[in-house]
Amino acid sequence: MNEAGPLREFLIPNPFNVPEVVYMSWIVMTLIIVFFLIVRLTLKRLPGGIQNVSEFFLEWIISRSEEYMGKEGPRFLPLFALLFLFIFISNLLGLIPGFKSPTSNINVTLGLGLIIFFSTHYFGIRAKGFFGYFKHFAGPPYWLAPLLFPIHIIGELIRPLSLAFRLFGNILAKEILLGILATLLVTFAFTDMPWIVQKMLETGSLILRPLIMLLGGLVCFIQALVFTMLAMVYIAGAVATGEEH
Amino acid sequence: MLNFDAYILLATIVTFILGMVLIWNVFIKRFIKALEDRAAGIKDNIESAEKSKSEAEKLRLEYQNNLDEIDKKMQLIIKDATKTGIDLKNEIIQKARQEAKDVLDKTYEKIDLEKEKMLKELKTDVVNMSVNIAEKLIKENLSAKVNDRMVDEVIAELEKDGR
Repeated sequence: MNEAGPLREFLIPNPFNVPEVVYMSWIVMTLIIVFFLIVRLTLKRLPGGIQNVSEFFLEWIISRSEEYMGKEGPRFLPLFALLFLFIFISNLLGLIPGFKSPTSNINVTLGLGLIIFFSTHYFGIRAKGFFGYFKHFAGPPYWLAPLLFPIHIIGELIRPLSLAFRLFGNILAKEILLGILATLLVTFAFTDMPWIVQKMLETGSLILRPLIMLLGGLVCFIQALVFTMLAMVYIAGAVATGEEH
Repeated sequence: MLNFDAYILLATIVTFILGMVLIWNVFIKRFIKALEDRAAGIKDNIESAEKSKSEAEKLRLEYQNNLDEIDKKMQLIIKDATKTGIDLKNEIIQKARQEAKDVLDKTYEKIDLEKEKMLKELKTDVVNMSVNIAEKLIKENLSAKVNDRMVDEVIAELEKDGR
């Protein structure tokens, strides 16, 4: 199951031979924990450097969650902060040669989608009670409940899948594109063709690759943002009272 | 590419949940507390600054009142001093005038006395001269007694005229 390249294997060995994608997600989680640990150990009254970055990030998450959920928003800070960071760093990891984005695996994105799915319904039931929560699936108008209830249930079941496939598709596409460009570069270098054509194709691939990497960086950010924002919207919808809803 | 792997899925969920619990307990709780402490500290500082500002404003008003009072007192003192100066000046002028008048009066008095004295001397001289002339003229006809009476009459007449 271990498909790691020799560079990655040399830098970060995988002695227990866990699946590469799980191993990558552990690396991502370790990076996040180390980051927060450093911030925690250097926490000062007057912030500077890394603490500024973490404060800026967490306050941004708090303000976004307050925008969608009102005063309840900051309560979900650990979930949204970790969700964004985990997806963003996972996406970025694929840009490093020898590493692979955990989010380019459907099982990882589906796992994240399921976390949001269960969180949404857990917090919804906790906020409104079991019957109170499921009541809004049936209407209004309540005479349409036999039709609306299955539609709503299907809609709810589709949500984690849509989250998972959107993220997986975008990140996999980015990785495939980068892989193709790298392959083309090597292919053109060893293919027998006129010198001038060979150099033009090689240069084209060489220029295109960093540009696609830049675009990939942007995609990484946007996909993490979209996933987190949608998670906020879903949970906000579940915990919102009648008027807010 | 789309192979479903329950192990990876569960591993992702467990990794995420464990990471979230760890980050919540290790960092975010402490971070929120630090933010709250800092916000409270900033609030205290602002309140303290506001208090200091209000005290400074109060002190400034007090000083301003004192300054106004001092200014009023100063104006009063200057006014009094000016009035005293004017009074003193008037008094000195008055005194000088009085002294000048006294000197003038004394001088007039002295002049009068001198005049009177001179007139008396003149009268005596005139009388003596008249007596001498009369004596020469009527030496032969008048007795000593008549002569004295006539002299007294002339003196009385002269005195009357002299005044």
